[in-house]
Amino acid sequence: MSEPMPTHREGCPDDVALERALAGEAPFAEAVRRHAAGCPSCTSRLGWMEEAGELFARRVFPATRDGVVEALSRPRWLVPGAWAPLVGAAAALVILFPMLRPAPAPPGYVGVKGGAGEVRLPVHVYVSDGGRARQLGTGDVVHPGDGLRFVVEAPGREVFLVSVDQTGRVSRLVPGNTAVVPGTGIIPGGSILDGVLGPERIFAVVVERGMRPEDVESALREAVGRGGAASVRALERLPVAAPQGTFLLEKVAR
Amino acid sequence: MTPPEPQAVGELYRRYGPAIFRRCLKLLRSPAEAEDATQEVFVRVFRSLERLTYGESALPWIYQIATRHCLHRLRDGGRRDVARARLPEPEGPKDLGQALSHRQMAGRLLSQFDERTALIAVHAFVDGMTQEEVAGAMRLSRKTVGLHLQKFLSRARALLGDELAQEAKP
Repeated sequence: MSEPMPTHREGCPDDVALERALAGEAPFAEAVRRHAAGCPSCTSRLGWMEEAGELFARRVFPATRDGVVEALSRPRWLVPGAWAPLVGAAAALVILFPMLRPAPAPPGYVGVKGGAGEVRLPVHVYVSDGGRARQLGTGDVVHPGDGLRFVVEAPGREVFLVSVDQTGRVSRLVPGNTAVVPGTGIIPGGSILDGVLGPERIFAVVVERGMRPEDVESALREAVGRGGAASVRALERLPVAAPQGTFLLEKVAR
Repeated sequence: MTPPEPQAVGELYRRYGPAIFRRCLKLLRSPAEAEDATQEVFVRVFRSLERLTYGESALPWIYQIATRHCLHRLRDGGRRDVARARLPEPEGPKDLGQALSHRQMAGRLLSQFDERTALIAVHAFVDGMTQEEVAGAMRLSRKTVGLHLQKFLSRARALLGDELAQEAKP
């Protein structure tokens, strides 16, 4: 299916009309059939559409049906009403939500296995998009003023969430410095992106015994140094002995 | 909120998925990306079904949702390309339709416009629709469509070069 769809010619039915004809909708089915009988261009377009439909039935549907069902079984919102109203671009990432008191991990909690400094925590980022939460992929584009929520797969652990931009500025993303990750993984509060364009890298670091947020911030500043955007994009781990995860965003103007 | 029945979801997906996939494939030019976009569009469509009026065909509405979704993908990809400035320039497009059929160039170009103007440009130059057809599909006046196309062409002239704009016909 490498060929693009043949071009629509003036006076021919548009793509929606062809779709409605393929779906058997009257009067489109009959009108398009009559038109295509004398129009090689539309015959080609219909051929392309049927081929694409077969590709969907043969490959796409079986591969994606379960994912679609699963996506629709999830709640539309991670936490309804939890998004902050967007405010204008500020000088830094702004914490909008009330302070939370950090609490210790529950007794009996079994942490992630492996050497602390080598364990990768899955970090997910969601952006408010037209009133709904849309999941981002690492490296995705965001804009100043976008509202973000974070999910860290470390239930019960106390985490420190921090970001750095290409100017080397470090911002704390969790109210009260650290947060205990709830069972859902959703970090309380959220952040609004500031107006500094370029890459912005987020780190979630589990707070190990004796570790201070200042230590993580210092490590982050030193790691980025004067390397600017390239350094932010390349930085995959922080030199701290704790489970950690990272997520990269590319901030561009709207 | 009760999760939908998997069987009902599967049936609707089988019915409307092909139209969504075709639209995404036409605009995104990549079967893999169209596959991803199809799932996202279907989820969005399913969650908005209550907006559909009884007796109305779902296809024009689905088509618009898929078009907007793909446009966002193209524009976001274009912004990323512009921001990273590392993709090679495509060689010599001869008209706007050709420019917009080039995946990276389309993204970069469309990312420079507001959503409505970008949608009108996609309908006019990718779908080959007349101004009247675009106006009907988007429920706008023909005059509004014409003004947006003028705006698009004027900016495209600066972005893609005078030679391209000379050959483009709104």
